Parts: sequence; structure tokens; C-alpha cells
Amino acid sequence: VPDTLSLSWQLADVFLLAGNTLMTTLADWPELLTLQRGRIKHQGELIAPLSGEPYQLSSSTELLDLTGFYDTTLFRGLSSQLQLSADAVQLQLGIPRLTLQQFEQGVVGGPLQLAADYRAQWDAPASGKLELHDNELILFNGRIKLPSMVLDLAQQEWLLPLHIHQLDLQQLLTQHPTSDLTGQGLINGQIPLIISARGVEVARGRLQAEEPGGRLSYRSPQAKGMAATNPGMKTIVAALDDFHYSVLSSDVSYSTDGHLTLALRLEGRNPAMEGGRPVHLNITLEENIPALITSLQLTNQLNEVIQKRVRERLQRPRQP
Amino acid sequence: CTPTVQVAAPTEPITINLNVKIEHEILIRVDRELDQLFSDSSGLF
Amino acid sequence: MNLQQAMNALGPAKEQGLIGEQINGYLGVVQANAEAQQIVELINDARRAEYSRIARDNNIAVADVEARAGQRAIERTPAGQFVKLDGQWVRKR
Repeated sequence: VPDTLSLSWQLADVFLLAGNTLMTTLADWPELLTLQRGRIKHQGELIAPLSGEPYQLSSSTELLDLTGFYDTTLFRGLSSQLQLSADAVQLQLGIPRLTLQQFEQGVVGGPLQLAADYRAQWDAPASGKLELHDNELILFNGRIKLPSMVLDLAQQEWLLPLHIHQLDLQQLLTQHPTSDLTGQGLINGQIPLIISARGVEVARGRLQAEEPGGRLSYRSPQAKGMAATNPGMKTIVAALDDFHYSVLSSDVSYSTDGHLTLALRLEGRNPAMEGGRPVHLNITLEENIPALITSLQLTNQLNEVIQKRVRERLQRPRQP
Repeated sequence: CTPTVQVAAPTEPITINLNVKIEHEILIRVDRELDQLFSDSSGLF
Repeated sequence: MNLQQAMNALGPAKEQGLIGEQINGYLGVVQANAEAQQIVELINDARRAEYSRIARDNNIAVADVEARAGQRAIERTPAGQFVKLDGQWVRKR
């Protein structure tokens, strides 16, 4: 009499271009997730000793170059291996390597590299330990790195210390809808991201331009108009027309209602203004990021479903 | 020789303090144009 | 009925609960009657032309302008008049 029952399975590969059979078969397929291209392979094994000892389940799912979108975020080139192992007491999900070539959520970013391990008990599957290993996102030609860390999902709040390496100011400004401002420079810094039920926020983030600094040029018809009658504005417009800065640094704070505040310090000069007399600027800059993302999405030609979701977002009454 | 007067650039820096609030024109412009439609004189609402 | 007359009849028709605003930025008939139907068709055609112009000026989709207009039309509807929410005509409190 066999003492263990062993069951192994291998699904036929799913080619998303030919339709997402997983979406039709899996009951709880996330409604906001649509996969359009790519390939999914899945195989697994269940070993259940008849003598009543605990069973052992293991499965491996391979995602190959998936393209699609989640809610209003478009993604391309998602590849990963998901290794699941479980027994009667606990489950473990290993993601040795996940790469995402590009994503678009108003702003275009990527590639993203991610490696993680998740371990939880069956009696509290959603409050396990998530181990993140040297994850990195390329954004505006620079790198955003997250050091290896363990997130305890049983907690209410998680701190993700993001390290910013050489974001290209020119790239950032070209993606920003305000076309009156251009510039060059490489930005480094630390952004402590706090995630909780309240949402995402940043307190005391810090950014600064790398030596020797760079250039900024602000040329806006409205500002020029105001400069004609306002001496203060006249100096600002003259200085920022071709501003060579040696110091560009900023405190960063971001609130859960989407409010970004930069306390900028600029030191430099415009060679053509008063013989290159030094100019110091203290600028408090405020921007609503959700409004930025919405206005970027409205003008980028995204696919129809995302446009529809952005529109619905427009119709939802603004939170107080 | 004729003395040349070299005006040294004033070294004392100009300090400027500024508050900037970035509004997103697309939504603002559309709202402003819709304001005209919603006014009593448009006859549409 | 021409557009001029429809514009004049718009306010009273709303107050009498014959027509009301919808989330898509267009008028809808609350109580079917020939006159209410005409007002809705004439006014909606005029609104569609305005929405298309605004969309062209800002190079965004007409549907984005409609969505924005619909949200504001419902917000600005005075209490007692009708708005269509989730497919139901509701008298705004």
C-alpha cells in the first residue's frame, strides 16, 4: 500500500496575446489587472503522506515579458519567477528576481529590479515577514535604491529609506508638464518613505545637486509680463533666465493627501546679470502630485481603459 | 597709459525669497473655460 | 422649438423636475414629455459643440471635458432639482 500520495501538474503555457485563460479560470483574478502580452508557465507538486504527517506543496510560476496595466499604471516587460512552498502550518513565496522594463503612471520609469521572500503562518497569511533584497528602480536616468530590509506586515506602518543616485534634472524637467523651466544637474539624496493605512508620506527627505552644480533656465511669458511692473519679479526673471548654480539643495516633505513641499536653497549667478553677481534663492515650492499625475495622464495618449479610469477618478468628489 | 577703471562685480549676494505653488494648467484651463459655460449668460446650464 | 427657446425653457423645466443633470455632462429627461425631449436634444447638441471646442483647445479627449463638466453640473445643481446618480434620477437634497 503506497504510504504517500504524490500529485504533480504542469499547466499548458498561457500566451496572453491569445487571451488570458487565467482570468477566466481563476475566480479571484484582480479586476484592476489586465495582461495583454507575454507568457506564463506554471508547474507544481503536492506530496501528502497517507500516514497523516503534514503535506508538502510546492509550485513554480514563471512570468515572461508580460505587458499590461494595473488600474491606471501601464507596464511592459515584467519577468519573474514565483516559487511557492507551503505545508499545513506556513507558506513561503520566493521571488529570486523580478524585472520590470518600464512602467507609466503619468511619469515614465524603469527598469525596476526586485528580489523578495515572503514567509507567513496560515493562521495570519497577510501579516508575515517580507524580506526585500537590494531593490532598484531607474528613474530619470538615475537610480532609486532600497537597501536590503525586512518588512513585518503585522505592523501598522513601514519605513522605506530610499537612496537617490544621480537623477538627471534635465530628464525630470522634460517629463514635467511645466515647459517654462529647463536645466541640467545630477540630484542625490535620501527620501524616507512612510507607508501606512493613511497612505504614503515623506518627512524630512533631503535632495541636493552633485558638485559642481549645473544650470537652470526659467523663461515664462507670464513671469516676463509681471516683471515689467514688479521690480522684485524683474530680478528673479533676470537671474533665472540663465542661472549657473553651485548649490541646489532641498528639504522634501510629502503628505498623504498628495501635497509635495520642497524647501529649495539655490546659490549661483547669471553671468549676464550685474557682472555675474552672486544670487541666493530660498524657494518654497508646493505641488499636488495626484493633480500632476492626472494632468500628465490626460495629455499622454494612453490606452482607452486607463483613460476611462482616469476620467472616473475625475468624477469622484474630491476628498475634503 | 590710460587707467582703465575695472568695476569689480559687486560681491555681496542678492538674496531672494520666493513661494511658488505649481498649478496644473490643463485642469485649471479646462475648469476656467467651463466656468463660462456654467455662467447664467451661457444658456447651457 | 429652436435653441433660443430651449435655453429660455431650460431653467423652468429643471425647476419643474422635467429634466436634470447627468454625470456625463449632458441633460436627461426625468419625466417624458415632448417639450422636455426637445429641450434636452437642443441643449445637449449645443453643449457637445462647446465641449469639443474646449477639448481641441487643450488637446485632451472630449470625454475628459464631459466628465469634468458632469461632475461640476451635479455639484452645482440646487437642492430640489434632479440629478442622475448610478442610473437613478434622484432629487438633490
